[in-house]
Amino acid sequence: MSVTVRETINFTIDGKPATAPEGTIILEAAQEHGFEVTNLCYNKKLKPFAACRTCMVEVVENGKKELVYSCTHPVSEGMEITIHTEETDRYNRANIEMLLVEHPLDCPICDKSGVCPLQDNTELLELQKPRFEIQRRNEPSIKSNPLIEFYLNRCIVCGLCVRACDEIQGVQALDFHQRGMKAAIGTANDEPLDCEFCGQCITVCPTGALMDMSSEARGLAALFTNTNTTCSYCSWGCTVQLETKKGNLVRITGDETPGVGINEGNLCAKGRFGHGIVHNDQRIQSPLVNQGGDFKEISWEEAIDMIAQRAQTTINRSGSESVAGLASEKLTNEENYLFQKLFRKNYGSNQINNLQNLQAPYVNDFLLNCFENGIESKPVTELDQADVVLIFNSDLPSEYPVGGNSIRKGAIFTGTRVIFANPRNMRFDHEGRIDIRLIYNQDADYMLANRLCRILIDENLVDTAKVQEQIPNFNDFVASLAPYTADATKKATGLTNDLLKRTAVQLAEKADRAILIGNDVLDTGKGRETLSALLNLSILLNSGGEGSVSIYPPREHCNSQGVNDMGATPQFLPGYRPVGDAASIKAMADLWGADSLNLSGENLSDELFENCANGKIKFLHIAGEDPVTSYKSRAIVEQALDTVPFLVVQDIYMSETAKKADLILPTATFAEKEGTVTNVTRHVQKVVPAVPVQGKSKSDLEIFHNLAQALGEPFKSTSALDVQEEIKQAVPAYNDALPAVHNQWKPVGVDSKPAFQICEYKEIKGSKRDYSMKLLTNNHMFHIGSYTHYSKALKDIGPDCRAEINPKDAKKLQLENGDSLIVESVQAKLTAPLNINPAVPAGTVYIPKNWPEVPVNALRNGEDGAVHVKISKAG
Amino acid sequence: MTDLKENLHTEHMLLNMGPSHPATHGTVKFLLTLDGESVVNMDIDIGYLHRGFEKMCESVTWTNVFPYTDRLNYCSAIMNNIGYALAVEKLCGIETTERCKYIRVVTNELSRISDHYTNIAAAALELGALTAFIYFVEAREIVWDLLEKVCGARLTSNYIRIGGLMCDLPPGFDEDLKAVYPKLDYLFDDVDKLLTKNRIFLDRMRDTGGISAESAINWGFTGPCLRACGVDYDVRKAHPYLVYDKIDFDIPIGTVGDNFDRYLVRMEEIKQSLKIIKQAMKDMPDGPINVNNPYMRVPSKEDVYSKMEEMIAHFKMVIDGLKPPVGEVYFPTEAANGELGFYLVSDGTGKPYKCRVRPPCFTMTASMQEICKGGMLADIIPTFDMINMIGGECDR
Repeated sequence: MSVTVRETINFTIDGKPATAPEGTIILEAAQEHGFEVTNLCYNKKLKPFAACRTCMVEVVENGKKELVYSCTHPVSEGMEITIHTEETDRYNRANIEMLLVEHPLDCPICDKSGVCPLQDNTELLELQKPRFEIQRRNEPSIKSNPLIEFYLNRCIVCGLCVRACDEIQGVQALDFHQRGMKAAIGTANDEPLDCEFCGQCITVCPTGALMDMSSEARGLAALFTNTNTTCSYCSWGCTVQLETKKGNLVRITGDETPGVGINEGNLCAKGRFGHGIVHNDQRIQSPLVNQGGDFKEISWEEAIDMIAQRAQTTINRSGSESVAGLASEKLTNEENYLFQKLFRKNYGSNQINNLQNLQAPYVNDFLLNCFENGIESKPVTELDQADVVLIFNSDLPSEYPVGGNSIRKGAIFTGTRVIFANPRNMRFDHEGRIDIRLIYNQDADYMLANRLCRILIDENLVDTAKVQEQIPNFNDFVASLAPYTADATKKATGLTNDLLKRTAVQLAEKADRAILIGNDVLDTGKGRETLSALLNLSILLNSGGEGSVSIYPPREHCNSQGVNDMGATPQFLPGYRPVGDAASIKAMADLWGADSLNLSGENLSDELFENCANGKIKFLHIAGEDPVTSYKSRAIVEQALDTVPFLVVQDIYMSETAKKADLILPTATFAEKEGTVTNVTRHVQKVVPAVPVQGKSKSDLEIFHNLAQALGEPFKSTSALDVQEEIKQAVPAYNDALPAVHNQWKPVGVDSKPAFQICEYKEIKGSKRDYSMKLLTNNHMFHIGSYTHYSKALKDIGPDCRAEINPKDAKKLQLENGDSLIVESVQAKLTAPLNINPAVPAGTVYIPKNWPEVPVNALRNGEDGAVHVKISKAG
Repeated sequence: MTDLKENLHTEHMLLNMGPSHPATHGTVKFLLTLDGESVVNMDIDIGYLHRGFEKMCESVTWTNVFPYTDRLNYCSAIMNNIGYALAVEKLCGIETTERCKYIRVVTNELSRISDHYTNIAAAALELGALTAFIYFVEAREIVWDLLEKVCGARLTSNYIRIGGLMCDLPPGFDEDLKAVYPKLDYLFDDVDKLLTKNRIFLDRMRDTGGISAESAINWGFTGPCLRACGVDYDVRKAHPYLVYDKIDFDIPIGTVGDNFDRYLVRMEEIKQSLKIIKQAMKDMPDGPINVNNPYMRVPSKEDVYSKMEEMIAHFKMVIDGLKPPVGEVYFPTEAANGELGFYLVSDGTGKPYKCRVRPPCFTMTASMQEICKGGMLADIIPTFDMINMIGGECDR
């Protein structure tokens, strides 16, 4: 909630008393109170516009009767509102009637039929017998881009798409064209649409003027079965509506119904068009066994028996710690819970980890430190009410596009001040009055964050006396900030002290602040320091300032948070109970009905791949991850997977990792399974099956069950719901979050231990001779992980991996767009087509990650921090 | 003889009559306990034609229930359509146009005639009078030809719509009707002469299957079977609907309530129905056949394909269904067999929350065991004929 308090206004609607906060417009107030008001151009997320003129109501204000448009007129004290009077209905009818004069008779073939506001309003007003001469438009549909079809005959010029594109997405790819009868919407100069392809315009379009072309089997929305589930790509956790017909996923839309999900119906390109991964011939069709490089189909029974047998023999011969598992940031909580239970209970091994914890184990510590310091992460549903948002090293339109939507909405309705800190000068347009852009030198994240802390203290922007009183190690902290002088910061970040001071002032004002941290900070080599610095900043603001601070940890995938909550880490049992704690182990043993759990073996899974490569781990089970492409160091993974005597991979597609497996098990996509996932702000949300599992594939949950059975100790809880009951006991914090609506889990029984996280000052590494450029990697706007590459729609809009450099560097090397660029590090060398982009700072190469054809993780190969590379033109 | 009975070792015979029996025109099973040829006890098993009509109705829109009602009493499909339509119209609070009401009366009575033709023809056939059967089936063909002209179907004629009709009467329908009256009268007279004073027919029908007026009311009799007992009750007169209050017709009643009275009542009703049709055709006004509001009826195809408002109304009607206000109604009509009532509950959505039918023959079929008990086995045949159990309606 914003710190600005809005007064409550009393008024009546159709004679019934009602209340709403000051400034609420009539239409919204009426809808809140359950009244139906006709309208075509109103959307809660957008600024009032009044294009369609069909929402007229009668109001009596100070004894004066007036007819007003309810979508722009705010309520006032004592106002008497009447919704359907004979007079207003006549006006509203006439306006819709005129729209229908030129509307094509397409209801039986229109994508929107059944969820069409034009139909609903026509029915509500019981329009019949047209009075005007009919003049239908007959223009061909425009299919100049791969995903969004424009059929302008159906356009009613409500402007929703134009406004959504501008206000929600900040892209402004659409605008009005022509005038009068010919008025419609379109792109600049009628060029093919080239935008973020979020498809918000399709969701908001009240008619079928804009349509989703990503699915071959299109048809009436009225005939589809809708299933609301949680998107499986990034960690924002949007609720997506899967539209299915006869067991086939036809398309995905956003559900704008109030209270559904955390995203208000906003979606991004991946979430909306990435459904091509569900029904796909390239999916693994049956369990496969590796026979000298060729994969041969085997039955499920054989496959499960083989795993059980191999695990048993390995444990007998080399001890239980030689059996390791890699849980997944993309599997559900239930699956990850069973997976770690399988290892801890059935195998007696604590060698279980997940990729994020492997690469950045300090993120969990950061989270626990936040809890101990009382720094909350408010629900993301309240992000649009924050007064200040600091977007720290996150390319928001690519990383959390829907988070960007909330911030833009906040900028409009709450007056959110936006501070955008990133090494790349990425586009993030919004309507906030304050927009501070901190474009700093790469890898200087922690300098920036620490400098902000120091300014807050030095300039007395926060109540230092209060902080000193509340936080014991304040003095040590102040001492540790000594190196972050204005000059040193200027040198490292390239930012002037004035700008940073302005930023600090904005942060210090009384406000509800949100700090969004991008996943890029984990790649800087100083992730721990950066996160600590940001936590310190939050503690300062929280203790010494007025208002509140929310901080969102970096989590990349849909369940990066949940996999850690479920204890798929060597450090923690479910619910962040330390593995070393005897009481916790006893509690787990009791819950699982085991006499005792022996988890004291050597911790090999902190260095999982190294220990595979050196032969300590002899059995590796990877559930739904592709470390070859996504782990920071490709070479060690390849070496590990080639060395480990037995490798099981559970996956949907034949990933680079799966190709190295001894046994591959085909699993289910998010649209086919049941469970819950936990998003970046710890909202536990449902995953609901919408279509049956394709072919012989099985859900991961079922595989783990079968495996436990084959090992002779089957799990008691069989269904996802049963497992949830068990999770509630294992992870007490989940008690309030399950059954999953979209409640946030709150830490239970965490002692308050306020303390600054003090880190030593570290110099930023200078570049090596010959390798003068720095490498930046992040997710592509249309791709995340490796599955999206199998979605045709996303391949259409994001067909290739392009290396990006600044025009200055391009000029220096005489490179042009589309040239083949060779990027070389000490470790490896790769080639990628070039894209010249001024957003990339000079001296930096940006390459999107997770592309099989451009293995950018090979360039890093375990090197921490900035990777130094050199570039040249191929050929 | 008495000695013989006492001395001979005899026992009752159990006999399954049906469920598929050539002389029971409907799938029903009588479990008979016979003492020689006398019926000592009779159990009736119904339900062989149960389709779950009422449950099915809950899964389709209000409009889509019509094809199911066709298959209740399939001998007079339109009467079921009308009963259902009137109930929904009462629920929605809509009044159909005057012309529509007259057309409904005409088709209603044509259906009643065809139902009675079928009933009497089948009864005669099962008693061995094949000629009478053929004559009335010929007459029924003529009526069905007329109905086919009206709506395109002969048996399951899905002609009535909520708030109106599928289409107007075909041009020259009055002339068509007038042309067939002599033929129908001629065939009626033939059957009348063949049966009414036929000694064998009389022997089989008179004093068999009788029931007292009091007992009939207790069992819930309605229609020709109740009137045969001398009770003057006809929904058309008692609770007039459509335009029956504007039409002059008589209600024939019987005296003793046996099978022959039932036959006579039906024969007279055929005459009265023709009288109603003639009047209705004469008094029928011109005008629209459907209510004005397209959101309360299926709009005409012509409008749908030319006007956006009607297109939307049509789409909403097809996909969501018409949405009556929340509430419940019961509406009785006089079907060929008795009181056909629909009890509907609406929860405000496009589909019925509950659609209960009161089928006229259900109660009368139940009374069979009382009527037949103590009678002869052979009398079950004419009694069952005259009760006129229709599986589609009784079992639903």
